[in-house]
Amino acid sequence: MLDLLPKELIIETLNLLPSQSLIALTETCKLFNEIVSENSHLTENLELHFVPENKILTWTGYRKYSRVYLEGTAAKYYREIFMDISDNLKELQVICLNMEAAILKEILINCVNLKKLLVKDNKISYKNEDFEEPLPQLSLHTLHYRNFTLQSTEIFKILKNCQVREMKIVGFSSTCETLRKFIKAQTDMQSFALHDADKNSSIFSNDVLSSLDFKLTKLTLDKYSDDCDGLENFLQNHRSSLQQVELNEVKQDVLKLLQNFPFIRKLKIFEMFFRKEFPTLMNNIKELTIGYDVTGSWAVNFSNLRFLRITWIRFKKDLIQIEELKKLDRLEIEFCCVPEFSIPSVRTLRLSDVGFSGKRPFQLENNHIEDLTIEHCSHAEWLIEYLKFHSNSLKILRIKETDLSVDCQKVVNCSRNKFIVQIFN
Amino acid sequence: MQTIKLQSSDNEIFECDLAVAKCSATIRTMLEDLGIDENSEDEVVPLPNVNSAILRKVIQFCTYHKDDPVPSSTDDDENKEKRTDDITSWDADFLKVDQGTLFELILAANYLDIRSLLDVTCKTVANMIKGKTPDEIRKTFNIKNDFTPAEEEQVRKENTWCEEK
Repeated sequence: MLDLLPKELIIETLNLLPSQSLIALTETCKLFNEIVSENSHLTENLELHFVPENKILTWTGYRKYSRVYLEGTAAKYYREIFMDISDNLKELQVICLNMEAAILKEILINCVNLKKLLVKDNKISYKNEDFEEPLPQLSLHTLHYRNFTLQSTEIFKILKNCQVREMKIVGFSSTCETLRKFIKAQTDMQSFALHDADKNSSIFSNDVLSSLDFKLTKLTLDKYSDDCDGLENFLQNHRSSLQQVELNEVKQDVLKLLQNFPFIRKLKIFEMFFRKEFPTLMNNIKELTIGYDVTGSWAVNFSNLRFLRITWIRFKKDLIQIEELKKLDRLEIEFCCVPEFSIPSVRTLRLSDVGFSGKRPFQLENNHIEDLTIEHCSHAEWLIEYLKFHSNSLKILRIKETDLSVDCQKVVNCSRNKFIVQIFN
Repeated sequence: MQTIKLQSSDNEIFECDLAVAKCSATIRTMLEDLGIDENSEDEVVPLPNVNSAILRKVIQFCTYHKDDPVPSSTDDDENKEKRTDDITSWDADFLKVDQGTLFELILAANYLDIRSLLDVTCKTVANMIKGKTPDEIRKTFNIKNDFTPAEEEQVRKENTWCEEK
């Protein structure tokens, strides 16, 4: 039957399939074999997970890939594959490989169009001559690096001439002088993320990073526990450019350092263990995501919030202050239990994985909700009453895997209000 | 409410809301380009490529979806995920039809240029292919294996490395 459709409609459908299904289709009949082979865009992603060494890559389809993901696949075949595809390659992910630096160099040297490089958990063996000729200049949009053993950042010697716009480093140890030099040489970096830095790695305390040529707009610090002295210098360098900051398990003092940064609009803070007092007023923040074990009264410190996402928080009564956020337009609450406070009147509300135990999360009367999403919630009996009597402002309703879906559908069917309903089960 | 008459290939006339008919870009263009007067009671839009059974389904779909927001086309094409698991319950129920009807709906959605119907029908077909072996795919769609044994052996050999489970 499927083969009776015009070719362009078959391709439309095949666009939605993962490579494994496309490959299965090539074996069904000549027509599909031809369609898959002729339409290179269908197969531009190659993902190889732990393919055994004795399986030689002979499928000619690989010549067209522009995105290649290699995980735990034997290194010795790479050279051959990449000879053919290096021009097309836009994205390369190399994960859990045991390989020689020379091979990686050989691969990268021809990838002139590469934009995204992810190097994670590999065991790469280096020889001295690998560093003598670093790779020629490569301009990357994204570079992610995670070292499995924390043993070396030698790869940054090879990538010495590389310019990166977005950089993410996972695992930074105090011996990473190479990496510091690499960062120092950047001129165009806009986004920098540092995860799991070794304690006392003092990445920022080194003078090298106190004055830099680039201006960050986005900074992520995840599990950073060093003293703030060096960090203060580093941050001051980006004071007039930073727009987005994400902090996870860092000292509360870091927030104080950011207090008067004029252009920060977006802030995400996780696991900062605020108890009673929130350290700083941050009235310039428009979008806040806050989560994991936060109690105390933080809401009033963000009086200009438009968007708020609360995730994994045990609500205490003092959170009632959220009501004070008069400018709030969009509120998202996820992975939380029985909110005992009243949700302020917002236009967009998303409640995901929230247990209500039959309680109403907000004053049903006089709400202004236009866009309501309820996902994976339990005991949301209030929803029926809301839909029946108080949904005048509603324009779109999405209900996903929530136990009252059937009842809601009935209510919606009888409702005189006109709004769009999407129910997923 | 303003209505419009649509004529199927088997000459059945359907009267439906103008807003519903305008979900179809093809009908929209016809009305604009051919200057068919929307107010004229007698004017009928002929749809020679769609039979009455399918047209009835299409009108049902468009009536339900006529107020849906137009998806923003600003999304970066490269970042678009190939998702096929986001079919709403109503659409899934609507598409519980035999394969012949499903494929005719695809053809009609394409001819009438109704993006949302084309998307959801293609997703449904993709879901019928996903996770199946070549043999199961052939059975599902009644596809004839036209490879000679030698050719089949060749294709299989080329693909062996990706079939490792």
